[in-house]
Amino acid sequence: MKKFLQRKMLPLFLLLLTSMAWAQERTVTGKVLADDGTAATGVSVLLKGTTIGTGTDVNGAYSLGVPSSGGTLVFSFIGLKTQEVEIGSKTVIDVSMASDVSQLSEVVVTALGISREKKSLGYSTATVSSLSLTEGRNTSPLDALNGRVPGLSVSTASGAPGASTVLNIRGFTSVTGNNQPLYVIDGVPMNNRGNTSSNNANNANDDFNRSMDFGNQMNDINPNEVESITVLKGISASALYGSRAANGAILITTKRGKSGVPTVDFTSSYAQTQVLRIPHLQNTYGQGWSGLFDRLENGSWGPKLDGKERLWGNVVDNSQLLKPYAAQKNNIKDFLDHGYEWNNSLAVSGGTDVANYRVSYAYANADGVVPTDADSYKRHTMGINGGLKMNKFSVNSSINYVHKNQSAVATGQGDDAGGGAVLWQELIQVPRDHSIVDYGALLDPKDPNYKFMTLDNFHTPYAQNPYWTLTNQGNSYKEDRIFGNVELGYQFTNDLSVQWRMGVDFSDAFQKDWGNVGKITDGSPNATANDVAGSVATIARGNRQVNSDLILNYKKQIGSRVDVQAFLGHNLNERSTHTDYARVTNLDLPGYYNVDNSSVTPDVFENETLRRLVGVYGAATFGFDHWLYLNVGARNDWSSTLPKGKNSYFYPSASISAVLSDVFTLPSQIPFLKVRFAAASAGNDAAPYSVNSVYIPARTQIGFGYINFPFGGFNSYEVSNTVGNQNLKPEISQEFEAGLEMGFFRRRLSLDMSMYDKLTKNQIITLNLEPATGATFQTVNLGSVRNKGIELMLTGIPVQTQNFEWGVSANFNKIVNNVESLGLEGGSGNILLNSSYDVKMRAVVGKPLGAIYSPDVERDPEGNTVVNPVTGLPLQSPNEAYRGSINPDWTMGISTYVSYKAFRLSANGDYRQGGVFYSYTARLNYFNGNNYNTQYNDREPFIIPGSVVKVSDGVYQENTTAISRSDVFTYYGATTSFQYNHVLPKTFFKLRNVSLNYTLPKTLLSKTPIRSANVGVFGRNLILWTPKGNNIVDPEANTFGTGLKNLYGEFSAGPSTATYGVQLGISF
Amino acid sequence: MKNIIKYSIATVLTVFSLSSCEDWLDVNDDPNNPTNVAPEFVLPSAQASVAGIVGGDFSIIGGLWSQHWTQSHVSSQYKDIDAYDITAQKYNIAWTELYAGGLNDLEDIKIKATTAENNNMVLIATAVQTYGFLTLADWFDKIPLTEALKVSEVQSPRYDNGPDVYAELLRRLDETLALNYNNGTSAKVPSDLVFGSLATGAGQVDAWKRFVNTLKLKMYLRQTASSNSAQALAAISAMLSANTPFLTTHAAITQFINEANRSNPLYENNIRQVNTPGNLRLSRTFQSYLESKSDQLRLNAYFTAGTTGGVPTQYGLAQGDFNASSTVIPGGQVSLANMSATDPFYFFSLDEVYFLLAEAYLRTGNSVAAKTNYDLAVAAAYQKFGLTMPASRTAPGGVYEYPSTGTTAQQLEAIIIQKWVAMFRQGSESFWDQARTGYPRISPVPSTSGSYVAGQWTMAKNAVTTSFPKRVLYTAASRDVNPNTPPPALVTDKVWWMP
Repeated sequence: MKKFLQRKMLPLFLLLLTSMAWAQERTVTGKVLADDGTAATGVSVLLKGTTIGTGTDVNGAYSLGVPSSGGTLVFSFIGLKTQEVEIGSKTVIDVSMASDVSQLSEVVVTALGISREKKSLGYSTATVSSLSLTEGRNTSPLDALNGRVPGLSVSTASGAPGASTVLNIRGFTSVTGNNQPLYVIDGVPMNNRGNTSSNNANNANDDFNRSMDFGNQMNDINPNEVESITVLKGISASALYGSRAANGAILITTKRGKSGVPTVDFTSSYAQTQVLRIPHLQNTYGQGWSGLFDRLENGSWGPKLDGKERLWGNVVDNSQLLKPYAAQKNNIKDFLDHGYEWNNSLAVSGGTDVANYRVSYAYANADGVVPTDADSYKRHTMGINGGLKMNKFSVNSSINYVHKNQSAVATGQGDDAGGGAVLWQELIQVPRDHSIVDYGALLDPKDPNYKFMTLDNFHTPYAQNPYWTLTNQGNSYKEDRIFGNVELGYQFTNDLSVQWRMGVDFSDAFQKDWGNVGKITDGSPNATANDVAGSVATIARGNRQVNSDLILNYKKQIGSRVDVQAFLGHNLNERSTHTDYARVTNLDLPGYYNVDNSSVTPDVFENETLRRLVGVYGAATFGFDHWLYLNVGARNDWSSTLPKGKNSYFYPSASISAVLSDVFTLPSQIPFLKVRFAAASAGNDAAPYSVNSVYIPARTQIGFGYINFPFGGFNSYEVSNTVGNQNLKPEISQEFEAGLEMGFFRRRLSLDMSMYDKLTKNQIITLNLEPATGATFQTVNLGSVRNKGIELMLTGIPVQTQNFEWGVSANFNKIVNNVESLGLEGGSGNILLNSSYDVKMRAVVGKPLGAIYSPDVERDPEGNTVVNPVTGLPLQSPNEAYRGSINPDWTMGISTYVSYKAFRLSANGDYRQGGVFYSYTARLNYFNGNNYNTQYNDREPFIIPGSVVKVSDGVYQENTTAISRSDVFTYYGATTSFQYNHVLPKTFFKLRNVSLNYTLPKTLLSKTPIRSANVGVFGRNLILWTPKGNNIVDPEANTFGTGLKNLYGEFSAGPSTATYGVQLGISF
Repeated sequence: MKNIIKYSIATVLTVFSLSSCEDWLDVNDDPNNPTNVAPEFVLPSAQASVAGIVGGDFSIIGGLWSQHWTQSHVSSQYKDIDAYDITAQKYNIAWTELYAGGLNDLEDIKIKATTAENNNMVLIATAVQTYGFLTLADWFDKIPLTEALKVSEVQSPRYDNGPDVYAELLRRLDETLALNYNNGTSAKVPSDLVFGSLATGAGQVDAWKRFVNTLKLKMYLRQTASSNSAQALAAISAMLSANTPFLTTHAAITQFINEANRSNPLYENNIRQVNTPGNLRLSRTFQSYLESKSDQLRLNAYFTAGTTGGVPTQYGLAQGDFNASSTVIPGGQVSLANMSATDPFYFFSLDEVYFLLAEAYLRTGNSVAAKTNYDLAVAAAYQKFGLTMPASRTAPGGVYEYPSTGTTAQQLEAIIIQKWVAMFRQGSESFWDQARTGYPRISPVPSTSGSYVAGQWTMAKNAVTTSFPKRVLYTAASRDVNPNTPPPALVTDKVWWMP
């Protein structure tokens, strides 16, 4: 903290020093010590009533020219009690400054951009500094928040460049609505559309269809321009943002120009990425099925690998390929390559007392681990901001432009009727004895093995050559975005000021996805396989947000004991989106990717939404004697998405904070003790157009596929299966929070603890209806979800000497999440949220939100597996088994740094305990015999350990029937009850960041224009530990969009990656 | 400067306070979807919805359970169906698409057309809706009917008993037939996918009345082995003696094209949208029958031969033998069921109408008319697949000769077995016929046995039940949200009209 302030204040000192060009008649010197006897660095020494001043150096020494008449010196530093010393005739003035805990409080940014002393807050906030955000050189600032803030969970979908990041504060609360926090940059709410897109137009990646992850919009912020990120966790902290911050808020404060000479900052980093986690596969058995070698199979159910030469694949032109029947242990890794990540940024900033400016540009360029640029990310960001302060009038403005160009490898289920197979699905199925790289002969028609690798002749009709998939598909996502704000302020009197802030966030994105047509020649070996129809889809998407806040501020000191800070505000918010979509399948010309290239009727889609909100809010903080603070606030919203006449809702908040250490005498080891309590509620409106029933363009489902219109020359509409609700009410969250903040040992050690109980009721749920009613969904107010949690943050500096410092910060977070009611007492009492191959994610009363259920084997009362007496295979239980929830039991984050002279080493990591997720990758690996766990009993016939057969009701006896050799595959790959094993534990530890930086000594730079420079190395996600139950995928992998479903799991997700690189920072 | 700021703030304040009124917030009318659509624009998708489910999912199970085709041993899509291992989730889509899709849209059409007094439209909607309800009633036994499709009033509709469902559906058909079609407002409905291309409105009304009569006949015949048998036979007699007009053409949707999501639902469902297109293969049951009658013509029209030893040969897999080893029976050996994107979907195919009439005449004692219709039916069944039946087939001494001298039971068996052969891709009908009449007979031995009689149905090799399936299960889509869903049924539980 000290260092931080010191750095921040340096330019100010420089300014002060420049104003000292006047006659000095004598000099006063001295040394300033803190009360523990250490030198106090950076203390301001000012001649009272003038601008003459200086600061103390690292030894606490100062020297200041003063007029001969003398005067009074004022020594001040945040955290120490200000002292005034009469100069008189002294030439040496040494002072010892006492610490002032009441003053030590930081200033934090709170809702609506209002700065407040932290000690006056009755709720929990957490601020992550620019230093922490940039030490790992993440391309996205959100990824850098991982493990740093208790109560904030950060999930990054995959290791692909630009993959989406989902943030959640204090657990999931909304069953089918929004669970994301509100993002705010410099007081202006931002859009954060997720661009996880499948080929359906409405951007709903709810299912397991072929889809791409083009990230989310808040990932497209330049981290180097972020001064700090403040996380407002509780409702009381965020309530003034209204409906939209019921899930907390993430406030991003950007860097501004500071008074002083212009500064040029340049940073650059280059990193390599490599695969962190791919499935741990068996290397004992090779190509084949049912225990027999089969040259056409696409799986490893063959015999034991014996290293002997075998012919494999199809006979083409009377020749066949020969290779040893031996494991290719790294065949997937060999297929993948190293990715890279290059981040460069340049900023020029400066200012005077009345004006400041900052201009920045950054370029991020990354390519993922898939060969070719199929997974790549390029981003340009530019920003200009400036401010002017004239007498009573002030203006601040910023404008930012982002251009992003991204490509992503598809995940999900392959689609021969459209874009084609999914690379990951093809890769993880390859038999263990095949070298995937050798399939690459496909890329060179002159290669003698080329003919064996084509669609016609590839060794199996059940899969595609991954190189064909890779080189015949592609996509691009291009987005242009402008956001910025104008803020005008006017100070009427000392007490009263007004502020108007207008912000906009506009973006237009164009997405194109294509897959080539792949006709398989009749009569060729793979003639039984599907032709790949090929498809081209284009989506144009835009969103606009305009936000205005008009705030009247009032500040008054009443007598010496009471102070009041109050404001009254008015908010207007308008958000609109548009989507235009067109897609054709069955391409005519191979390799030509345009929606013209087909004779089939295109699918087209157009959608627009508009929503508006008006809010009026107010809040007041009453301070008593600088130790007791009472905050009250209230807001009323009128939302366009609720029924007319019933669209107004009011919610109050109140909190109290008391710095007890200021009033009670506590042991000297505890110089700081603050307690706080808060209670608040917030409303949440509905999605647009939930009120009225409509007709929709017809699209009738027929199992797999549809009959779409126009058809037979007719256009058609159907009654929407979602019924409108004229009585929709806002969703209401209520939260109680209590907290304790303590500082020990001159605040070298501090503890921040929060406990809360949050109830979200009248949930706006899209309720499943009995289809026989004629509808399947209705948006209703039902049910409630409670989140109780505890958050601990312990920060300490165990060692601090002049040259060496070691700091460590640990946080712990536990959330107990419970669905208290769903209002579905009449029915099954649950809501299905997601499902894949019988593994379901549900909302169930009495369970955490996001309960995972899977099929299970039938069990006797002792829990033994009941098997079919004929086959020895397990019987399936008629009941699903509850497998746990998507939520971790608890999480922990640790970050630490060691600085020695000019070196700084820092690291952070996080551990999450508990929770489960669905893995399709596990499913596929079990199915094709690549899974490591399929080697039980050398794949010889076996009796399921402890299994029984049912003799009669309630009577069981030991099973003696072994599963036959050919049924070994059936057991792992084709038994529904085995899907139990596709649910994996979510527990993991990840070492998120390690970085080592060296700041070049000033002496070295003194003859150069360079003011400061540092170089360093860094690594991200270097270690991933998972428990034995998961040797398959990174538990963070997910392919289901950016909502609650995101945490359900993965459907052939790509591998996660580790990154390591070098970085350089120079200031001129 | 100061003044400018003051004025601009004042202006902004004024604008804001004015704009905060309800008008500014009145933007919640969905611009993307219409709020009111005339019935003629709803009808095509409603018809397509019923056709899509009956011709898609239910065509697959119908053909599997009628032993026309069986699950391939080198793929796995329908293993569950072919093992009679039906879960409550299995027909969620069918249930949802029919009820919340087609049937609900038809209800909307009925309401609007009744208000507009377009009785032609009411007739079409009632006919197709009843056809859809009947499909559900025959697969599920009990279904919501009287409380169904009333979302604003009943959110947990009661399931009506099977006999009540039949009675109510027949009542609705009769009520509709009795409407006045010459009221001047019963205009032609060109967007009708089935008969919309007929020249006149009167022609369209006539065609749909015939459709309704045929549907009634099918419903009465369905009940001939039930406790309602006497009333049903009486109703059949009444219809026949009143010279009731039945369909004389296919009632079909023929507008399918070879394009994703505009194709015949069976093709789209089973071939185009599934990444393994070779799931449905020739069943040895069906093969044995056709070969025993030397009916290579239809065998080759229905199935593309596999290759045995490099020679194209029709090869049927024993019903349900999906775990057969591909090293013993190579994947390419087993014949593949034929279907194309442009196949028509038949609500009623003409041969089916003749078969219904043949059975109706037989059951009401008119053996001559039964034979006439049988002969027409068999010939029409060939014609449906673009084939010309060799006249010798049904001629005296032909393999398909009508057993005019046989017992009524033998005559019935001949009709039902020929219907079974004809109902390729319409297998639900032959499955229900078997459950009702016992024809084709059940084989006591597997089709691999020496004593196996060609064409007799065999228990699926990997069946999870000990007897033949009779129905599908109440859906999870219903059970999960409707407390009035009946207790779980077994796949072997009979539908009410099954003996």
